[in-house]
Amino acid sequence: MSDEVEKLSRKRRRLLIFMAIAFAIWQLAGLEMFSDLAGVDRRLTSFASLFAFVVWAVMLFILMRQRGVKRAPPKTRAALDDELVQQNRMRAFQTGFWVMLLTAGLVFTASHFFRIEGNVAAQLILVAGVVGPMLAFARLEGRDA
Amino acid sequence: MPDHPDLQTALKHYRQAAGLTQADLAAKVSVSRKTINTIENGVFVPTTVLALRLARVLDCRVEDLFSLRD
Repeated sequence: MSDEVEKLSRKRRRLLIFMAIAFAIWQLAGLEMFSDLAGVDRRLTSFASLFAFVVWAVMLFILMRQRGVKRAPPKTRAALDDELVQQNRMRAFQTGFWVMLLTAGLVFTASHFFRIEGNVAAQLILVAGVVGPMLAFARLEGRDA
Repeated sequence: MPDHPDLQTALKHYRQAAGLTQADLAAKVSVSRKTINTIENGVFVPTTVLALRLARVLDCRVEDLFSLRD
């Protein structure tokens, strides 16, 4: 049972890391501000954004389907969502809160020097709020593995 | 870093005395091996329910498994 739990746990962790990176690229590469800052062709960043979206959607499908988890015995499923996982999830959300707050502070400070549209600011804060907890959870799950 | 530096655990001692591996004990209480490892290392403090389950499997009291440092 333990091997199966660790295998599925590792798979979930890997998926979360890839999803977080794909989500960040999808959202940030789509911003006009990003292509201006990077000094590259807008079509290139749009393609990168679209590609990242496809990767993210495929990863989400795999994560939602969770074929291995659904076929696993009840004890294995319980172990995949045991107390440590629940605590890690809670801590990841706490980290996400602070990451969002920090991002909001940085965007607010930057807005004194650069022109930042409201929708762009909201998008940056949302990306931080989604990516922060995912990476934090992956890091916590990798601890003492 | 430990959740509660004041807490010390004898889980490893009792588990080894019972002739169980971390994976064996984890399977008996429906948690992952990593959870048992983090409890033994003092990184994770289990809930009362899990502590009672561990004590039941290892045939001891919760106070035998967990105590406060002097």
